[in-house]
Amino acid sequence: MATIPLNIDEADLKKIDYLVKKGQYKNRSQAIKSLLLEQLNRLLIPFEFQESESDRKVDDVVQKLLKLPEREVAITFEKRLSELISEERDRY
Amino acid sequence: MILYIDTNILISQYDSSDTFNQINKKLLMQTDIIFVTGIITLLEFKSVIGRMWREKKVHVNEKMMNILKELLEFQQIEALTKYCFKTFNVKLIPTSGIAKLDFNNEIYEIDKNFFISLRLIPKIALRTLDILQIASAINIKFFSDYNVEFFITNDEKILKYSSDIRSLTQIIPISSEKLANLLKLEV
Repeated sequence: MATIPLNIDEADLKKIDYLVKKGQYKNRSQAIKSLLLEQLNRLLIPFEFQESESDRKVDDVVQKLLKLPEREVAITFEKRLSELISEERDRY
Repeated sequence: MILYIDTNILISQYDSSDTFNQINKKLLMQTDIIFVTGIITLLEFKSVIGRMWREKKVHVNEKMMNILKELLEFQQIEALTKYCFKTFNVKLIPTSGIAKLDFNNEIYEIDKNFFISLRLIPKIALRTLDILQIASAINIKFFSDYNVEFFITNDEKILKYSSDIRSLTQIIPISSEKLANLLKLEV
């Protein structure tokens, strides 16, 4: 865990204190941390739905799989998989 | 001949307990037929593969597993889905057109598949995902270069409405067994 020094305007600090007083957060530190993480995640989510480094890594693995001389994929399930799809459709 | 493939036909390739496993495999090996499908199939296929993978019901050989171990679980599901579609003799046709929906005096620009689905729902008593599949086949037939003639499915609920779907869409829903007979395939 790292500690970061932070300069905050008096006016903004008052807003944070207000939320702490209202019981929204335990203390200033928790309020700032929660608000920062919330905003951080909000900004990061759209990147999850765009092409990313992860997709390229997946594509590399797919190419490696396709190059294998012997490949085998089988699914064993207590029901037929086509039944499973039909059941899923029944739900909607 | 251009055929639209429903999800159950693709997933049965990996299910040896499926009655139609061999027929479906043989059918998809036909190189003189163009097999197409829509994004809704990718969605359903990935959902099933993902669920089965998490439940450890997907079995791959040791070498494949060693390669897949390079990835996190969600990436393994991505990789398996991509791998499966690479090995299918099926073209995934994206149909991403926009249509204008006039609804309660408001104009909405919506995905064309949803637009076609909304038109189909009052006419055929099918489930929502069945309707989306049929809409996807219609979208491909009338708004792309692939003139889909048949919709291959082994789903009884779709096949039951075969004549209604045919008259509304000019696409013929047919089971893989019937199609194999029609094509005189030996299994």
